[in-house]
Amino acid sequence: MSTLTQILMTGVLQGLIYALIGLGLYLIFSVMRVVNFAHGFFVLIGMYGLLWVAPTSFGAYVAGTLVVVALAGVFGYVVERTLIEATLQKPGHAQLVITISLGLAMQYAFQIAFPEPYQKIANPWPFDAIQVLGVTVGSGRLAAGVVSLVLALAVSWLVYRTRFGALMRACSQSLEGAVHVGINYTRVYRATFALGAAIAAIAGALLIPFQPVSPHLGLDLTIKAFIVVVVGGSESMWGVLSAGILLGIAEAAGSILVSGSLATSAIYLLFLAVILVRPQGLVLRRKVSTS
Amino acid sequence: MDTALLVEQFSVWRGRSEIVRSIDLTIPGGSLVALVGSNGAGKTTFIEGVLGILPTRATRFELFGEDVRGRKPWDLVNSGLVVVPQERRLFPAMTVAENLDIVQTKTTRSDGVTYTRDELYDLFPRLRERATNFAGTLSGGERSMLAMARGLALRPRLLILDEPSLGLAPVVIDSIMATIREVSQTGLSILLVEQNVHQALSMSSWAHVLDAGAVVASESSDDLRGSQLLESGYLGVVPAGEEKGIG
Repeated sequence: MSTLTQILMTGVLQGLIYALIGLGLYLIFSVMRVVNFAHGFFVLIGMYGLLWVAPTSFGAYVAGTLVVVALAGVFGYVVERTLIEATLQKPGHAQLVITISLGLAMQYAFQIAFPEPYQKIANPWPFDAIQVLGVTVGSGRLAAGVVSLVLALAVSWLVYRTRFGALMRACSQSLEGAVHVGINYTRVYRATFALGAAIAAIAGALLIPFQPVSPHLGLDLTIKAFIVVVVGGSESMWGVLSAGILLGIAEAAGSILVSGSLATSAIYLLFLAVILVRPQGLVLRRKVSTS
Repeated sequence: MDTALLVEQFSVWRGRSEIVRSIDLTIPGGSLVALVGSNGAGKTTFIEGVLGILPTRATRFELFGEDVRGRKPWDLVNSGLVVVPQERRLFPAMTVAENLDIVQTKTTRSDGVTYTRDELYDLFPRLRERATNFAGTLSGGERSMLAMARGLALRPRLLILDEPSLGLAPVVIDSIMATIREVSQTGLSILLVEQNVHQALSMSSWAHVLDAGAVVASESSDDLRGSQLLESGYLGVVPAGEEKGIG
């Protein structure tokens, strides 16, 4: 029984972070139709950024996070303007090559800048591990899960309740329509990409107190973000959220029930199973005809 | 009356092909002008060129006397050039009301026609009934109406309507054409692009005929109606009694 609660507790909390990372990828994909293979490396910006800041107090952690996230947003904006924009009119493999190259470049840049692998920061949260239903939950993990959930809801509010969100949805539903009503879609694209990068960096800042970082983690997180978006059904934010939680639970179950490296394969098995059974994704919007 | 749109030696490319070849065309302000031509004559290509979606070249391209060569589509829309496209290009997962809301421009332009939400719904009563429905669930006629309402909400100075009657039932076409006439009477400059030649000519004061990417005639609609161009089947309109079956 306590094993089950352990799996669920760890899985849900970790899954919420995966959902947040996936949400950034999902926004960029659904608005711009760009598949960003560098997305996991944007998470590393948050992780290494906070590692470099090395906050010793909660205040420093929050301030450091805000600065790093803002810089990640600027970085995303510049990447969109210089690299992605040039590929938009080209076939899909151009974006593939550009974003994979960017990811690899970032990976090696991190490797050079931070040669010491598997570091993390001291717990910045002003509370200790707590007991929930007989399971001990680390403060970093608990805070990361809760903050991720809040941010996911905030992103949903942004998309469905604000003017910027309406512009994003317009570009997503009909780019030609957006052009005909005078929406400057290049601006919307830049802002969306910057937002996606910033969300990824926040996730990184939430991960670093309990997840040791190494440059290879970027690819791992990219793949997990992909799983979340594909399994969730690329048309729904709620699908992304539930797929993230499912992924977290699968990973937690894998790591507790089977030995170490098999845990990762449990994730991919789940991914495979869902793709075979429901290739359209878990959650689908009711079909409305386009045009 | 001033000139709404003036192009000289205007060419539009689609990919590597020059589809519209060096045409001259004028739309006088405050009038309803028709652009007719058979399927594939380059009418839609011309419009997409004017809106800045496709690459163009011109010696003159003026909107209300202002040189607008090289402007981006969103700048042209903000200057009052509004295109209601043939494919409608609505936002299918937004409601009718949201489709109209999205166009709130930040411009401080005081010219151009201004329609409040209620006035748009009075113009298209069907849209008021469907205000909370998703645009993707609308019928063909309703889509055409919503596309036109969305165009009017953008406060156009020149409204270009690309095949508003395409694929619609005759009774719906009549209603949409009546609305276009009503809108035109407010003094808004309209370019009506139609395959439905007779209908377009009966409504417009002036007409340009496009064939194979070139303007082959520009004359008053009344003159054109009785002219050889129509009689010879140039516009894809076969005169009565000459229809031939296959075989």
